[in-house]
Amino acid sequence: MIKLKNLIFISFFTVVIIFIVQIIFYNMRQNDLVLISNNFYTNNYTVFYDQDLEKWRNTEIGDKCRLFVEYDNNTRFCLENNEWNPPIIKGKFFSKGLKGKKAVVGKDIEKQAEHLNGKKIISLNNEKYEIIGILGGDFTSKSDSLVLLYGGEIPKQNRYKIVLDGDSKKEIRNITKRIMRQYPNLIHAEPDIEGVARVTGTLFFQRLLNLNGFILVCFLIFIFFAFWERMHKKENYVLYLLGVNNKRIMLYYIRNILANFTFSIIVSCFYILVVMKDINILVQPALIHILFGFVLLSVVIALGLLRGTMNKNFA
Amino acid sequence: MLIKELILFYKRNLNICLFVYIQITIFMVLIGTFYSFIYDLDFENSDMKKMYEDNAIYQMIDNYVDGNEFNKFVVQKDSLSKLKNFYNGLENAESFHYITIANQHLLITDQSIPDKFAYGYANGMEVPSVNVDNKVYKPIKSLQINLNGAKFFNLKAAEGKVWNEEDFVIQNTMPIILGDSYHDIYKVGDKLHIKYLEKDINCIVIGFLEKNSKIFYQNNLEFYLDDYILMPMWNYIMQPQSEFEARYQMMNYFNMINGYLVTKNNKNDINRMMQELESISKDASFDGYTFIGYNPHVKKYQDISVILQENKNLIKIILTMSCILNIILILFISYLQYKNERYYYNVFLIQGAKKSFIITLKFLEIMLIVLAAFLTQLYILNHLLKIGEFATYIKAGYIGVFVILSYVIFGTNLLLNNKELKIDKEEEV
Repeated sequence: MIKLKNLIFISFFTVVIIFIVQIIFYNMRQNDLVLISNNFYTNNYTVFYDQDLEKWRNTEIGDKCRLFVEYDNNTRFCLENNEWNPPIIKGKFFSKGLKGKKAVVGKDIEKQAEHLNGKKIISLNNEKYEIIGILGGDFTSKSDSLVLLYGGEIPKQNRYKIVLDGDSKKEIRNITKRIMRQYPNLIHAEPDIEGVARVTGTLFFQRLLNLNGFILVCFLIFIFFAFWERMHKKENYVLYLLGVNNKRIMLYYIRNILANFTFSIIVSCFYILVVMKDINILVQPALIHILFGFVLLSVVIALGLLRGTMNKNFA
Repeated sequence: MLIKELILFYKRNLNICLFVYIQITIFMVLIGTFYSFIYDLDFENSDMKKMYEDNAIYQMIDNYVDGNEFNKFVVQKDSLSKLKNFYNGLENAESFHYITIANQHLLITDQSIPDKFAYGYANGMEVPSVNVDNKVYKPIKSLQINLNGAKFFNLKAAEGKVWNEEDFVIQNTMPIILGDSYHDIYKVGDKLHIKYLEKDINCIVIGFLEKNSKIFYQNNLEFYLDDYILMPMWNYIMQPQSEFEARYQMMNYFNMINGYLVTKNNKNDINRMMQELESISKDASFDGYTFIGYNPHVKKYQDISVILQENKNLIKIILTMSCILNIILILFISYLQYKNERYYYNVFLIQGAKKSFIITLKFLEIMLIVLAAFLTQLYILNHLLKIGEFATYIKAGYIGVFVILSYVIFGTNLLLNNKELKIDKEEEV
C-alpha cells in the first residue's frame, strides 16, 4: 500500500516531469514551426554564390550543419545533411550513406507525383527521383510546394546559390568565416529571414520560457526536498536513536526517493503515450538527458539537506 | 511592533525570501512578456485580417511588356496624358483601392552604406559602382509606393512620421521614409541627394519604419522593408518641359499603372470595381492593361494565420502549468515557513495577539516581497527589455495577487488551526 507521503511525492514529480516534457515538446514544435514558416531553413542560414560547385562537395561543415544548392525558389539539392531531422509527415528524410536518387517533397508535390513500380517518382531535367518522405506540418504552408533532392546531377548554372544552415548560429558564423578566409572572392549574402520567428519575435520568448522553466524546476526540487526532509525528520531521528548508521539512513532515504521517482516516470510515460499520443518525445535524447540530470540533481539536493539536518540535530 | 517583527522575519529567512523574490520576478517578467507577445500576435493577426480577409485583390499589369508594343505606344503624342489620366482615375476610384508599388533602385553617392542595402545584394550580385557625370554612385534598394498603398499596409513610424497627403504632391524636397536597419546610418531630418531614373532629387528623411514592417509584394506576404528606402509616388500634374522630363515622367507612370486593385470579396463590389475600371479606361482612352492574378494572398494569409494560432496555443499550455507550479511552490514555502515560524507565532498568541495581527503579519511578509518583484519586473520590462505597455505590466501583477492570496490563506489556516496551541474559538478577529 502506497503511503500518503509517497503519493504526494509521486503526484508532485509526475506534474514536474510532465511540465519538463511540455517544455521540450514546445521547443521541438517551435523549431518545427520556424522551419515550416521559413521554407525549411532555420533563422541561422546563410547564402553563398559561387560558379564552382565541386569545392563545396568537399567542404568540411561539421556535424551539426547542412549544405544545400538552390535550383529555384522551391527546389534544392541536399549536398550534406548530417542526420538532420526536419518535420516529416510520412516516410523519412535523407540519411547518411543513402544511395540512389531520392526526394523529400511537400504535400502539394506528392499529389502531382507519378507512380512507377509501386514507387512515387518526380522528375527534374530528365532525372527521376524516388519520393521517400513528405515534408510539412498538419496544416498548409508554403513549404507544401518544396522539393528536396539527393543523389542526382545538379543542373549546370552560371552561378550556384549555396545555402549553409544549422542549429547553432555561432557554428554557422565560424564556418562562414573559415570559408571566406579560404575563398576570399566568394560572394556571401545574409538572407532575409521570414516566418513565425520574425513576424512574432518568438525566439526571445522561447528563451525566456526555457529560463523560467529551468529556474522553476530547480526551485521546486529544492523546496520540495526541504519539505520532504521535514516530513521524514522524526522517522530518521528515531532510526538514529535506535543506533542505525547514518550511512544506512541515507541509503534508505535515497532508495525511497528513487522508488518514488520510478513511479513518477512510469506515470509520466503513460501520460505521454495516452494523452499526448506522441511516442517520439520519449526517444528524444534531450528528454533522457534532462530527466537523468533532474533525478541526479534531486538526489544530490535531498542528500545535501539530509546531511545538513544530521550534522545539526543528530550529533 | 509589526515592522519590528517583519524585519526580524526577513533577517531569519533571508535565503527563502530571496528565493521567492527571484522566482516571482522571473515569472512576472514571463507573464508580462507573454501578454505583450499575445497582444502583438493578436494585433498582427487582426492587422492581417483587416488587410486580407474578405478582400479580393486583383493584380494588374500593362500590356506593353514587348519592346515593339512599348515603342509604338510611347511615340504617340498623347501617350503621357493617357497614362496620367488612367492613373489618376485609378487613384481616385470609389469602388476599389488602388495600390501600386515599384521596386526601382536609386543611386546614392554615399559609398559607406553597407552592401546589404545595395540593390541585388540578396541575389548575390556584385555591388557595382555606377559612374555618372564623374561622380561615383552606389545602387541602393528602394521601393516606391502610392498613398493608398501606404494606408492599406498601415505603415507605422517608430521614429519621425509616415507620409500624409501633402507628401504626395511635388515639392522641392522629396520626403522619404527609411527601414529600421537604417537607424545607425541616418537620422530624422537628414538630407540626401539621390539619382532616381537618371534624375537628381533632393530628399529629406522624415521617419523610420517600425522594425519588421512588411507589405504584400511580389507574391510574398512577408516582404520586409527594414533594408529599404521608401519613396512616395509623386503625381506629376505639370507638363514636362523637356524631353528628359517627359521620358522621366513616362517611366514613372508606367510603374504606377502596374498594381493591385482591392475591393470587398463579394459579387456586387467586384462587379462595381470592374465597371468603374472600364469607365476609367474609356475616359483616359487607355486600355493597355491585363489582370494576371486574383487573390494571390489568400493561401499565404491562411498559412501564416494558422501558424500564429498554433504558436499561441503551445505557449498557453506551458504558462498555465507554470502558474500552477508557482502556486504549488508558494504553498510549499508557506508550509515550510509555518514549520519554521510557528513557535514565534505561538508566543504572539500566548501574549494576547489577535488573529488579525497574525493575518496582517503573514500578509505583509509576502506582500513586500511581491511588491519588490513587481517593481523589478516593471523596470526590466520597461527599461531593459522595452517591451509591452503599462497595461501589460499590471496584468503581470495579477500573478502577485494570486501568490499573496495563496500564501496568506494557506499559511494563516495552518497557524490558526495549530493543534499545539488551543485558540479560543470565540476570539474576535
